[in-house]
Amino acid sequence: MKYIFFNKKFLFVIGLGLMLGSCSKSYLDINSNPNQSTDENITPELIFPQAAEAVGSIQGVGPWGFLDGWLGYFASNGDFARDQQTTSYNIDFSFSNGAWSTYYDALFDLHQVKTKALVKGDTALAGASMILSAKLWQELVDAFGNVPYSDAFSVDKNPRPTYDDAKTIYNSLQLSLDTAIQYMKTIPPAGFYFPTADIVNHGDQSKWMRFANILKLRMLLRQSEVSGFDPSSELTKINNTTNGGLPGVGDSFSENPGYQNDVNKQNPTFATLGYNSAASPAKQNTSTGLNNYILGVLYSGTSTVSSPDFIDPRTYRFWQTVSGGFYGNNYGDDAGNSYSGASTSYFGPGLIGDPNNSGIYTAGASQDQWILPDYESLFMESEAAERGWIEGDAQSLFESAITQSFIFLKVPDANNAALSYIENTFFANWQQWQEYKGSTVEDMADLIAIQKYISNCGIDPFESWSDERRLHMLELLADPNTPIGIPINEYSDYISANPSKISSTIPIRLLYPQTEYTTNSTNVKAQGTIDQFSSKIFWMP
Amino acid sequence: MQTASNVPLLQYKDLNSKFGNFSNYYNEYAVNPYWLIANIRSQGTTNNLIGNVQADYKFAPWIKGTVRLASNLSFGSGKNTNAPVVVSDWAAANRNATQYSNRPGAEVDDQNSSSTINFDYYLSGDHDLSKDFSFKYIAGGSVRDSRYKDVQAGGNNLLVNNLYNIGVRSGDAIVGTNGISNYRLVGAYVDLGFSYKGWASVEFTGRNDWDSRLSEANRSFFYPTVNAAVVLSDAIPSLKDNNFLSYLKLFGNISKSGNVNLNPYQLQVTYSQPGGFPYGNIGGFTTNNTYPNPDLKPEFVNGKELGVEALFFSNRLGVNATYFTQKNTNQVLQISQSWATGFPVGLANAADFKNYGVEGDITLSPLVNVGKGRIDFKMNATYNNNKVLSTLNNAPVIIGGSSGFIQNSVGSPTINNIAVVGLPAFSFQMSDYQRDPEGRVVVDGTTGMPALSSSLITKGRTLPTWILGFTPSYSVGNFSVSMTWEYKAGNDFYSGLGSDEDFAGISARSAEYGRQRFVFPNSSIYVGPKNAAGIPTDEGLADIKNYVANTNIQVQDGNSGFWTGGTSNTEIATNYFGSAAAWRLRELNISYSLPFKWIGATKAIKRLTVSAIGKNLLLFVPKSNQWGDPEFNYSTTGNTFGLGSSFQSPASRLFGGSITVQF
Repeated sequence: MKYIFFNKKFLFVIGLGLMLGSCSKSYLDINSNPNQSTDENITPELIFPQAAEAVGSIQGVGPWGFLDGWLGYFASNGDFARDQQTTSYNIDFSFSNGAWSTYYDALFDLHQVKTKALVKGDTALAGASMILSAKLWQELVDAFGNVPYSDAFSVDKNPRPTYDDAKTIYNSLQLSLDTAIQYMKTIPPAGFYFPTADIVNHGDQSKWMRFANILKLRMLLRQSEVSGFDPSSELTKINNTTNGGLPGVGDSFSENPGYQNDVNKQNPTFATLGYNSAASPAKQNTSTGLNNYILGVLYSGTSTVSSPDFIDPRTYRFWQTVSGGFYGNNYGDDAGNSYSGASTSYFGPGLIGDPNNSGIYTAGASQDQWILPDYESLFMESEAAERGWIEGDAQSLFESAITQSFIFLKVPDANNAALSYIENTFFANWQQWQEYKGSTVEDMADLIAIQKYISNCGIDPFESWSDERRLHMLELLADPNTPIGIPINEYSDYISANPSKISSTIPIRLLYPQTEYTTNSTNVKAQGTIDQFSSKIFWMP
Repeated sequence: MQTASNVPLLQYKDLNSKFGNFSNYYNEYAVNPYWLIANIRSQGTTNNLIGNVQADYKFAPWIKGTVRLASNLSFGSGKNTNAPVVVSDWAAANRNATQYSNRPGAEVDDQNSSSTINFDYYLSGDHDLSKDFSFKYIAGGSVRDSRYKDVQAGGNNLLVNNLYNIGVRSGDAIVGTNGISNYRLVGAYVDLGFSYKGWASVEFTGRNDWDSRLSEANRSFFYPTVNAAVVLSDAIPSLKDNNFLSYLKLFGNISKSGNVNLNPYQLQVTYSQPGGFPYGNIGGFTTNNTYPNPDLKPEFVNGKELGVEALFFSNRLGVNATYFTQKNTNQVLQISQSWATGFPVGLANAADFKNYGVEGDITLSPLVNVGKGRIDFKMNATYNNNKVLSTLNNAPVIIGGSSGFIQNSVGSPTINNIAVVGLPAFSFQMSDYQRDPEGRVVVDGTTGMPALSSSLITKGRTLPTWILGFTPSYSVGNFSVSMTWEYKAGNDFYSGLGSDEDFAGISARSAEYGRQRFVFPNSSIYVGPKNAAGIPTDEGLADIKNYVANTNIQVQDGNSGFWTGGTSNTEIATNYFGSAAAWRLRELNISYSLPFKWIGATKAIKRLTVSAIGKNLLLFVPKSNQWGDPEFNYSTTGNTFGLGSSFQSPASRLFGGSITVQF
């Protein structure tokens, strides 16, 4: 009897426990995040400013700082040992981790904006994301060739994304840009916040269309040396004025979420090449400065003045003087052969903004971050016109591009300075170049690429690298038979001075990153053995 | 790291001296360490309040009801301060700005509070059913509520030197992580034990938990245990009363236990504002890097144990031995994923693995008597093997570690912990040189330089297979001395310190060839077919006939070009990977109690003991380990083992003493 009584009580206790357990549903529903936003409450217009800022940050030195070195713009000063990896061109897989992750990180946020905006019906916001994405995807392909594209960003379905063919991605980007242009033709209904979130073009949808068109043209130009390449169907769309046309003078694309001179809040270029935000600011970049090669280029090229007294007036905007002169170093040279940081010319006001009255550089901290300056679009249009792809006079587009470069860099009295420069500089002068080199399309494309190269010093080294890989214009500058004022070789070569370098040409691509070999090895190994000097991207001659 | 070993650091103690002051410190790449000690401070206080209320009521002689409410409240407050840097005009103009430039002071204040409330209620009791047969039971439930809140605020640009208050800053304040964390755990359990004549017992337990950190579908989980023991020396009459065997017990158990290895709110993708955001009224969010499986389940350990406990020779020799096997299922792991998925980190029930081995100890008390003194000896040994049984989609799971490890030197190796089916839990995956099919390092026929392979190799194990402990002690009268020795072996480790030392040129490795050109040891040169682009073909690379041994091609640069080069040296993880075996003297303890006649029961002081203690006194490692203590771990993602870097300070050798006075 006793025993049975016990059992009842016992069961009662178990019952109480279970009851408490099962009655506690709402008591346990406390796992929604009080600290961070989740898919339940995030909106695409909250992601877009960050994603657009990331696109600007990539352009403001970002992961491509080493290209400024490879292309003869920047060089290490004598304060630090040279970076063995970049100066020997002996790059490895981990070297690409930064560029790869930065690009996919930004692209994923843009993808999120697009997906979430389309769910809401905000097509303009989706279009803006697609246009910025197209720029990044193209650059990713230009650096790596085949990359994960159609399988990307679907982690449930494709935890190990396969690689898409580079050319197929290019074609798909053209289609995506066409869709974006269509989206941009529709003004979003009231209640959408696209103009507020648009830190790039401030809701100017026709400007976005011009942005899309120049990106379309940029992809076509990359393929100019591919034999049998026929751009006509894409050109028909670009030349169709209802699609918005191409950017003109003043159509610079940039972003600014509200940069200010404070820790972490500076304009990205200023934060890398300028000064810190302290009361007595110090250089942010203590290891890098002027490269002798670009100094030689800026000093030379005049047909009428054969002394370094006449120099490209942009030199003063790209670089600061040290005791009245410009002092650069040879890329990859031993630290012992280089000027110290204090004695090397530092980045100038054209890149990092002008100093205030007391000589302190602060204004650049809040300036807009360029994504694609107008002069660059004009150079591209000039080449397209020369190739007969678009309407317009190649020479006047070329000269207008040079003038806009002077204006972009805020050269004093820019218009007249540019005129005088074009008149007096052998490789800025359409006629003199034709007389020397010939007047074929390829000859003129070289001239345009050389000027574009000079204008892009510290601004868009990636474009210069791509032009060099396509047209090899830097070899022309290094040609001792070129009738330029001062032989560049007297100053330096852009090729590294490091005796450990494994090639006397710069790499034409990056290797796939270590993170892919670690996490996605089957698919990355399917791309075969990659060599940074010989595994060409599909558009390379 | 960037300090040569002959620099007399101790002489820079005086921060006002000619060479010790900030602006004049000799090194361009590092600050006077004494300046850092004096000026970069982190201070904090934590107050704890622990409370406990318990009520018991006896319903019947064998039913006792208990209700217990326990709370642990903790309040912390901390302040980190960085002193301003003011350099001399000369240093500002002539020295590198990375260290030698003026910087304002900075500070961050942190306030946090946490509370854990445990509410337990149960009935318990025991009852003798007959003379020989008794049982005891506990049945009840528990509720736990755990909360945490943290608020941080600070300023980077402090306007008044050496006044560390957010109110004197310029610019935006730093608002750090303001986190709230709350989870609840409800449990119900039954524990039922039977015992026969005091020498045989069996116990059953069952527990069900409901955990708020999991989704509603996976929230409830049950786990039972049964264990049994029999004291044979009492049960079998013939074993009683002999001088040889004084005690013998056999025991065994089968158990399952569940665990939620998650923090609250980990089931959802999150978005946060990175870098400088928000800028004024423009906010901007990024998708955070972790993709959690929303369907995460609890981890379970299914264990079986069988053991014996015995005492011999009137308790002078004690032996314990246990065989165990554990199956760990549904391990929640952070998995490294391709960046192209959008989420470089996944969180999933990604692996099952098995742990098995034998654990035992031997006690000799005393081992031997030496005059008035005695020597005791205790030894324990554990052999623990493990194997990964399955992984998510049966593909290798990268648990963590990093590629391009965060280190001082440019270009450092890739090394991860990895779970591969059939290999130990866990092994290492790491970068290596390109090798020919015979394992020789392939060097370039012209430059003599080796190269990094695109394939990562998997080898080694992260956890030791053998752990041995030895505790000899000697005592005579009031004086005693004891030591604890430990030996661990069977596992491997990676030292990130190695590549940093090579980069700075302060390692033995980097001086191996006197910084002169040398022929890379055990290397070969590829002479086989190449494709149109000049790249060796895959078929060619696989055939050993296409390689010739390299006997005379020296590396083109035997100095910094080789030793600081990433692909030639510092990015090769196998250069810094080796056996983690180590003998160590963990502890030495010497104590002396003052003789009783001086103090003693009648005096005010009843007992006085003086002792001296030293910890981490000696470490012996194999010759292949040039880097030191293998027990360091540091990684950028995940819970990893055996991955060291130069960011941990070495284990400190500790000397201490104590005086215990009893009144």
